[in-house]
Amino acid sequence: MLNKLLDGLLNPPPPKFHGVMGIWYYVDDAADAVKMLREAGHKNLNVFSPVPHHEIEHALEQGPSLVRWVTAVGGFLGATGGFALCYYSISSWPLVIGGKELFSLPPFTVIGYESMILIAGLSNLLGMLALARLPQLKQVAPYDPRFQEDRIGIWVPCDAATAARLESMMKGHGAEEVQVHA
Amino acid sequence: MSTTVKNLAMDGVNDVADRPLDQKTLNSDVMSMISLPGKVWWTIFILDLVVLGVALALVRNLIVHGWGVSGFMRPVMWAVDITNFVFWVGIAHCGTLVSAVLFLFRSHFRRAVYRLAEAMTVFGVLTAAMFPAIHTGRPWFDYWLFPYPNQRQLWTNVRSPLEWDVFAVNTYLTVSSIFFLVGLIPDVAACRDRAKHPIMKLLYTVISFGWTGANYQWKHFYGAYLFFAALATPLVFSVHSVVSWDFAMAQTPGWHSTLFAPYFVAGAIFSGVGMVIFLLVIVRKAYNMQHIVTIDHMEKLAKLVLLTSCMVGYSYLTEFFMAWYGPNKAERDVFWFRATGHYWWAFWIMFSCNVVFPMLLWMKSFRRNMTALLVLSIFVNIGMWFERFVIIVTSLTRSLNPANWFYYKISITECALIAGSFAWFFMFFLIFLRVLPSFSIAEIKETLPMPKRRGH
Amino acid sequence: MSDSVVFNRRDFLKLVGIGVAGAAAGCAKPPAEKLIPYLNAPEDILPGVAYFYSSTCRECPVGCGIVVKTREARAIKIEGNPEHPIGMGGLCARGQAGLQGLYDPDRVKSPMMKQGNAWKAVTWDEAITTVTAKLAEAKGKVLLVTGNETGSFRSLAGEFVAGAGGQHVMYEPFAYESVRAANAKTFGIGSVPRYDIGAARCVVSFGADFLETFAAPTNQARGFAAMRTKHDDGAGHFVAVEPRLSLTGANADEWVAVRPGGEMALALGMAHVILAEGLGSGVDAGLVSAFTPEAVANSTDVPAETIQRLARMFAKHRPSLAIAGGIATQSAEGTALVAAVNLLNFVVGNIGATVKFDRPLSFDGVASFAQFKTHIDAMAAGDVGLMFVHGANPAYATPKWAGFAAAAAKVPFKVSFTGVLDETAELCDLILPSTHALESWGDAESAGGVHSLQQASMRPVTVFNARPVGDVLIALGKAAGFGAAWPDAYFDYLKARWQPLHARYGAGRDFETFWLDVVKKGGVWEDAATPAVRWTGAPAFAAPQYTGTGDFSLLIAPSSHLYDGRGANKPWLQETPDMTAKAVWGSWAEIHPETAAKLGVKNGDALEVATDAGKAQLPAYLYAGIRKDVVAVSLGQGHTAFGRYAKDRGVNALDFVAQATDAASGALAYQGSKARLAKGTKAMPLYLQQAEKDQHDREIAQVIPVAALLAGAVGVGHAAEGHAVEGAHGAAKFPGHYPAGFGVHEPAEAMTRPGKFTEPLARPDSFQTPAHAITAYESKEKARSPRQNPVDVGSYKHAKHRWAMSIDLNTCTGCAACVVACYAENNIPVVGPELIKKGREMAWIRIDRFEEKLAPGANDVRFVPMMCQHCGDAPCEMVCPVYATYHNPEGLNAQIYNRCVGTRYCSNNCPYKVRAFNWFDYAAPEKTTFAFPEPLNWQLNPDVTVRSKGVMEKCTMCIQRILDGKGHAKDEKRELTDGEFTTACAQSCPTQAITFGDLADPEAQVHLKSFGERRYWVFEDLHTKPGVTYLQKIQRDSMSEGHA
Repeated sequence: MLNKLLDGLLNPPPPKFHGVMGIWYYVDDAADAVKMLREAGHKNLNVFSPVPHHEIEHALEQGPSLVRWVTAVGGFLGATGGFALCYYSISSWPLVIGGKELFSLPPFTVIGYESMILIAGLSNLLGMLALARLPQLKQVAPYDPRFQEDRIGIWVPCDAATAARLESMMKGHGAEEVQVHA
Repeated sequence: MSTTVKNLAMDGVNDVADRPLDQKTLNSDVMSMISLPGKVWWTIFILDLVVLGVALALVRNLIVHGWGVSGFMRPVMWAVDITNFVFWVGIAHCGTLVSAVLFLFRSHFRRAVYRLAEAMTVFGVLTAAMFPAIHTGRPWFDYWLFPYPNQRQLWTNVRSPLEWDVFAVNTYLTVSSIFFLVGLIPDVAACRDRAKHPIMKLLYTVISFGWTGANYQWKHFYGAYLFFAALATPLVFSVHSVVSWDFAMAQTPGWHSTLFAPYFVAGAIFSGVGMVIFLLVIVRKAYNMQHIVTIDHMEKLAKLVLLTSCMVGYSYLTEFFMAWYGPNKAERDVFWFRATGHYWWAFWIMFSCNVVFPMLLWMKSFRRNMTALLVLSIFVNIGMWFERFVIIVTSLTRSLNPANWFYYKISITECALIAGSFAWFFMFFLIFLRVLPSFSIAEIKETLPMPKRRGH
Repeated sequence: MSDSVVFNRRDFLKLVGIGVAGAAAGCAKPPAEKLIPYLNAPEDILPGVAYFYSSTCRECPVGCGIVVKTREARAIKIEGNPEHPIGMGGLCARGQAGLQGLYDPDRVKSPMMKQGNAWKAVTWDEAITTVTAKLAEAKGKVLLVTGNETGSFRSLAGEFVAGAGGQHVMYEPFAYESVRAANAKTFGIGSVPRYDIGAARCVVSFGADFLETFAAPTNQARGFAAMRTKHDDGAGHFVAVEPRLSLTGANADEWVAVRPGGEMALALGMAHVILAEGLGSGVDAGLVSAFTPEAVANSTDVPAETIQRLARMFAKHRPSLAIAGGIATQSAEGTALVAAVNLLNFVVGNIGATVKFDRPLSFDGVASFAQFKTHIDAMAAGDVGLMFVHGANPAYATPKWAGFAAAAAKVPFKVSFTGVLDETAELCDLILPSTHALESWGDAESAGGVHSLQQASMRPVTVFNARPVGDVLIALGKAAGFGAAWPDAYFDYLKARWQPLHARYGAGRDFETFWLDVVKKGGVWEDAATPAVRWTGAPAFAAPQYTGTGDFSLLIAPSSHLYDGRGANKPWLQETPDMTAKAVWGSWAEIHPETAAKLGVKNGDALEVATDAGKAQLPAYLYAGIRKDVVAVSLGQGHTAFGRYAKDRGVNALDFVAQATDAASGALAYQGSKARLAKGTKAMPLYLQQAEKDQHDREIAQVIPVAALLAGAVGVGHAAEGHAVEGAHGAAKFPGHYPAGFGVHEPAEAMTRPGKFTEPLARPDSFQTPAHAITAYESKEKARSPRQNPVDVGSYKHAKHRWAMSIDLNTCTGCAACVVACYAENNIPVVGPELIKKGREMAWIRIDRFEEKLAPGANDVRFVPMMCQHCGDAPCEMVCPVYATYHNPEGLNAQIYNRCVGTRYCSNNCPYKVRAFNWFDYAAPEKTTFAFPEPLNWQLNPDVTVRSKGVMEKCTMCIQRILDGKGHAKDEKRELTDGEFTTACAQSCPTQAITFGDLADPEAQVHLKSFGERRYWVFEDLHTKPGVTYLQKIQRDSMSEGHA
């Protein structure tokens, strides 16, 4: 019963895709294929691989991730928040402690610093998830478990017409196999 | 594409790893650890739970009757509770160090060991965090230590080192957990694809966030990972500095020292790496993973132990020198008392375990001998536990006013706290071994030569 | 009466008595019918308002004047009556612990008849009938045993035994027989004189523990303080001549470790020197011709030159004072010793100057031990048919060989009026529980011409069905048919007895007015004329011989807290450490470390002490302040009954006492038994509250030599140095008020190391130091002077006071009265021996004892009352994560119990270690650790929280009293005046060593003392800016005195 439920949850009926999925073993072939496909005007392709490959990244002409900015903003907010908390908590009810002045920087720095790291870390996480479109609830392309092992997949969404041409191009660039979804 | 030759080249004196390792086998090898546990695992696990149960019973006593059931008294109002806290925070430091600091330094041997170290970090912090919570006189009011808005405008004292602890430890727990879980995503995705049992599959599906290994995912994954490392690195140092300030900020002789922050950080890494070695030696043997965690990896960790051991030893000597050189008689008394007084044995256990024995690591053969490393790592952890005990108890025992010098005597309750903390830690760790990939598939895979048609 | 709901005449009259007393004392209120919170309160009583009743302390035979504080008709605190000539406002630990006698959970709940070995409750009527019958049977053979009774009760008792046919005997274990006998012999006045120590310029004590139990300790302590503050021209010396350094001796400048029994020879030796050198006169030198210094040296182990030195000093600093007393006079030759000392005093003319017979203590009627022994023999012989016991415990307080128990067995019927089931009551057949002194009316002639009234401060505790013994005697008398002349109530009898006093002191007032004044004042006292005293002759001078086998002389001393054992059922007294050994809840044997080494005994090890009379195992306490050939054991423990707190603790030292008495006086020879020591096998543990008595150069207890003081040098060498900015803060507020040398200083001069962070902030002239930051403290390390501005926002701006304290170590005698006062005032739980030993003492103030030099010759033992120092820069505050402790606007270091989470960090960071943690739930009745079993909890001070498990607590400088005082001032629309209220410890201090007040008030005593010479701060180099300023002890070098 439970298993059936889980099964339904985990293996939904496969969605319909329109495009061509080529699977490579050799990294350099895959990189060439990417270059070739992009030159052929297919800019919206996706590459699936067990580990990131620099060759492919270059071929894709990826820029650096934007997540750094999210993190920076988070860190800034965290630090200010920490200092603000210290300042407010003391000024809201001044209590003399150990004969010290009310507002002393060193202890505030510790709190502000830790808050900075905390918020920066959290925003870093959120930034990553958002930008990488995680958690990914619905498939964007056909998926193959071998992508987590040693195979590289290139997915080019297209209509039935171009599918045949793409298939032959991929084959030509050393694709082990090519799946056509039309 | 076998890397047998490579592995043979790195072979150590006592364990041969001649299993081929390529992208596919790596997956299967690592995931082979994730299987239904056998008799051995269950025996250990049940035993662990029994110990934990007994400990919890005594903790219940502690809370119902008060800390009077312990051996605590004036002037020694902290002893085993805070000793355990600092010990486990220290253990927790290695993980982030290995994964973050070494990541930034691009030293690749970390890839083989960091997953285990990070797991240890998270569980270590979870263990450590319990002690500040239960060591208070009225644990049910612990939430007062958190700055939450309330109509009475009662805030926390941000000038108290204990309050810094609250921030530091909680930040550390959060960040290191995130770091751990994020690093897991690609590997868990791999597990997800192989998982047979629906419940496991669900679990993996959830924590893999639907990872597919797409190029845009990798891009932001590594973009974020870099920053996690960049944030965690200063965090490691700050957290244990803050912990050390619990003592350094007090003017109790034996505590009041500017040396404490670096001294404690070094000690923390020392004990942490010790613990990692302890776990790795056992795990790689038990699961036959010598080809993934090679002798070379172990030797590098051993060198880290040697380095930190020297730093710790230097700190000890500095402390004594300053006590002798400085003007404060009370301070001098405390340190003389440490080495020769009522708790001399604790001091010498600490000193020999942390400074004397690790010197054996200057010998390459010793560094590459797993049995030797196992024994040493145990000594290191005993020594580091006693370091905290010595710092806390001897300093308090010889407080400024001789009129109330009393000697602390450990009671059954504290023994339970010690045993319980280990049980608590290993409970998490044992489950981890069986459920999550103990070695980072993705990162190790990056170290493998990639299949190329044209070669290089 | 508590069981009677309607008022009978007696109640009515008592009610009037108290009512008018209340009116006279400025507060009118009838006693509560039941001691429970009022459901419907009487109209003229204000809940939450304290009422005070003057009365008389009955915890020891002296009878100091006391004031009892009551709240909601419960006595919650006892303080000294400042008007009373004996106590003069101070009250010793024992007196204050009287409350725990009143609320003792083991008090007898109703009359009880013994059946077989079990006690069976009976009604008062049954009891009265039974005794009446017995009275008829035992006609002429009645014996009434009481303690020292000096007032109306004594005459009632007299009339009672006259009517019933029999005798009344008053027994006190310490009846000063030898003092009385010797005075009778030498001066013709057989009483205990008044020792005017304050008038003396030099004191030599021959074994007299006059600060602990001998004569009137509280009174003598006050005098001692006055004597010790004199330091001009070498005056104020105090030399203790005793084999074992007692607490009193610990206060001496010099310890003459005389051979036990050699005191007399030493006194005569001094007299010999004085007469021989013509320094004194008045008696025939032939009396002492035998006692040349050399001869004396042989018999006392005191070098001849020491004897000469002492003699010359004694003669030089007149009026001087030699006191013989305490255990030294309780030997077979005690009379001779006192006579010798009398002679010594006489030849230098101290008699009348410092030894006065104007107000002799009232011991005249007390039976000597020998006399009491004859009664015991009579009992044994069956000549006693009916025995009444009240206020005495002979079954415990007489040696076994006196055979009291056996003799009592021969008495057909025995009645005890005891409140608690003590050893004697255990022997009796009927218990008629009497009300506690605080619940009943009475009076006492504390000393000649001092008539003290003992007012019932509250209605009897309802859980005990007890009656005033006076009422019971009257009832019995009437029932037996010989008490017709008496009024029904003892109260009326008492009042009638005051008619003659009215005639004498009435001064025109009618009786009722006079009575009111008496009740209000606590009695009447006249200044009796000092009778002229002449030398009437000396007894034969002979030194006591130590009998029995053994190499050691046994020394038995009354305990300063438990006295002769009557304090043993008071947890406060058990928990307050003995100030010599700093041990609690038990007994021990003091031996010299070298002796111990020979025996192979370490501190706390079992030691077997054996005399011919008996032997027992005790823990050894290694004490350098005792002769190598002496072993000392304190009295007071070893009860076999007397309630849960006293029963089965330690050893009763009386079991060691050999069969001997002083022929001349009939005193029991406590001293005079040889003892054998051996390594023991098993003994009770030694519960030390302070194990380490060396202060390791921490400068906690500081002294200043007289020379330096006279030279004008001030505490801790501050004189030449500049002064820190905090000094300037205070000064800025009160320009010109500081004593010379302690005023404002140019900040620049204060700096030894100029630099950005060491120069003081330039402050506008208008700058006013907020009260909370005012301090007397001056840092030695000027460069570390803080730069920051003291906070003056919010409530810190408007505060007017800075509460502070100064403690004069020169007059602190370590009597620990303050400790008990604090226990009583602040609801501090008593935790028992095991926890004390573990270091879990809860006391807020403790007396640290530091032994700098503990050997014959120059003596240096220092006592430091240690409580929260209320630091200006408090280390504890900085580390508390939840603000549970903080610096309040009036400079107090406040502890907020209900905010405390219990991290205990504050205690770890407190250099003085004065914070106590609630390890268990001492306030939870359901827990085994409950500290206030019913009705002890009735004593709890309603103004002070009872702390719960897991919170930190400490001295609050009695903030409840501060608030109370401020409240009164506000109601009366006036400013607070200095000294209108003070803390419990300061109030109780017999020597007024503790001064509390407002440091911000330049006229306040505490201000003047805190800025005076001799001041210092414990751990001042930590820069905690304590609110408690200590005054150095004046160190005198008596060894340099009196050289030829």
